[in-house]
Amino acid sequence: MKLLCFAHRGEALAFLKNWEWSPLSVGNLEIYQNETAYLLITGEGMFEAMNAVSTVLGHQSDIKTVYNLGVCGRLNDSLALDQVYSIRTVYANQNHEPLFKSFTSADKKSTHDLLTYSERVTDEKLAKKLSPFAPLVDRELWSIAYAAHKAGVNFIGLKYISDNAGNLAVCELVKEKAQVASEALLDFYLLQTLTPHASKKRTLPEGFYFTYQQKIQFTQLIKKLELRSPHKNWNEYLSQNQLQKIEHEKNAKKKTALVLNALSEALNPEKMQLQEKTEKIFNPILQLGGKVLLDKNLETSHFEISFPVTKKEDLIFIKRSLDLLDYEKYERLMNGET
Amino acid sequence: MFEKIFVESDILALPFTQNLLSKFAKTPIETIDKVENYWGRVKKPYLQKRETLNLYIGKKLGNLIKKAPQAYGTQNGLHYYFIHAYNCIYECQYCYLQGYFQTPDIVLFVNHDEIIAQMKNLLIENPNEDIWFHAGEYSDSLALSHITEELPLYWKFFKEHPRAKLELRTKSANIKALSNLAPLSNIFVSFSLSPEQEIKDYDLKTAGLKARLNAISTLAQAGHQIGIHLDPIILGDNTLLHYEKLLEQLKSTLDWNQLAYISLGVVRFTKDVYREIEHNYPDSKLHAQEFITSFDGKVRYPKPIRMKVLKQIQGLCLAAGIAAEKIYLCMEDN
Repeated sequence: MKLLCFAHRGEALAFLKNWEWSPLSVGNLEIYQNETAYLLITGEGMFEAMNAVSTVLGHQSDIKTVYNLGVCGRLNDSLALDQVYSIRTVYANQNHEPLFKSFTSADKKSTHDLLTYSERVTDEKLAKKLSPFAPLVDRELWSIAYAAHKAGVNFIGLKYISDNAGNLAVCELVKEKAQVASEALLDFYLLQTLTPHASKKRTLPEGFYFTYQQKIQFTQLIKKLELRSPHKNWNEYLSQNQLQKIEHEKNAKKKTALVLNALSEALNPEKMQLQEKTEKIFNPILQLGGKVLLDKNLETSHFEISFPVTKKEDLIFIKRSLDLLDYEKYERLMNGET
Repeated sequence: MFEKIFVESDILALPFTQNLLSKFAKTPIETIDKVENYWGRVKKPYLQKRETLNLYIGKKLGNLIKKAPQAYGTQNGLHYYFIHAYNCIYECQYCYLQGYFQTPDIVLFVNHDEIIAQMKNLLIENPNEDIWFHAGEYSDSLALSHITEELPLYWKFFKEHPRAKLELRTKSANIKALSNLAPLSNIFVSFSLSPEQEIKDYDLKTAGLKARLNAISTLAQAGHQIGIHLDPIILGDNTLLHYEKLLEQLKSTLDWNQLAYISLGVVRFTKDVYREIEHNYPDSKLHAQEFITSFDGKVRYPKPIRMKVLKQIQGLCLAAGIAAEKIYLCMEDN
């Protein structure tokens, strides 16, 4: 579901007329619902908008994208009046102080930024002072984007430029243009939401048994390998030798383990070689049932060894296996010598 | 190149500023009180530099020169870097600037005379030491040098102070500003190089390998001192073969006698930068690698792997005929 937010009813008129809506009861908010969206009238200003949107997002868990549609002013003449623009990044300025946080919309194609200001910009001097931050100004988008960000959902801002900020008669102008702006916003919204999105699906190989964790591991490994050389099937990343081994294994669980191991090796041969060499060095300990705990990130040569001891002879075997451990070789390996 | 230029009103009339502005006659200019009141005050996403990159021109306050971290340069002398600009026109996927500043907009500082005065003070305070001054910590030191035109000022200072050494670090092939400057034994132009494929994959918008090698050749023939940084080394398919080929290409470009030093460094990031890379370049081959959090909190390859590749490439340098004393490992613990 989408949440379409408008500061004023006037900006929402075309949307209200073109679709059928039923009123929804969420606190004291003016909110409507149809099959694909909620429509919310937030009221004007940063606090009104943030409160209203946060309330709805807390109430309706099926919202995936929040839209803010409405009019805005321009702080310089780099963009045309009476046009709708999709906003890229929204900044904010409250009581003449810039707020550090900014939010970037889900529309990757947009290139126009907007500044949400805590008051109406009715002074040309102030408009000039704010213009380095963005070419457009409104009073709600940043708050709505912030609420969406906190709720973990995307936002999109579609703004109709109604006037030059710094104009004292801005309120009248905006009221006059509400109907035209609403229709322009609807046209833009329809055009934007009709664009199809392609999605990529990775399928698991057949004849294997994948646990949930292994499915995730498989997908992540393939995703990483695709970054290096895309457009391959999973088996094309593996050597003939690895594939033969997998083919000969009859147990579905073991087959899966072999696939994951082989993909890891294809992705990170250095790490696998290191692992093999380390195991070889500690082989005397491992053969005796001892356990070796290495530094998790291999940042230091530190390791811990433990052995089970059940009889006196075990101690002799332990001593022997420790004598066989080539510590210098291990240190050289940790320092990058082959 | 720039969407808009913002200039501090106090420095607008300076010849240096006017000269700079004259190079961007068609770009809209706005005067502002102080750069710091606008630049970085709000979080501007890094990749917006592709569409709307702004330029700020101002005067740098506070520390203009800072002590360089350990293993920043060669073993000899003291090492400092100086700050004449913030941010870069290039877009290297691993670049730490994307997590360091809160905006990609470029700042050019005009008070080079004050930077030089601080260099002079450091020489007085350290009468028995050679002092290295590195440019290019927060920006590429040559990329815009034909526009900024500050290099002759530094040349004059370093000519008069042989104990001071200047390193200009770059990934560009823009050597126009150097063409009228006579080589000095204490000025080093150092090029960061990676194999051709790695430059294509990671050093977006920078000069290609051929262009960088041509620039090296031209400067070397003119008698300039050359430094090379094989940094960052990023592991991939056939890494060693790629570096072997790169060293062959470099050898046919540059007489090793004209090579002052060559540094080797493996890719590393702060955690913030790593997060930025994930966000900015989700399809980068960098994400096909396995990194860990290392001894200093930075994200790197595990120590045995990064030490191994450093040693292997060090071996390739030696095999190519580079003298051992000219090779140093950059930003490593040993």
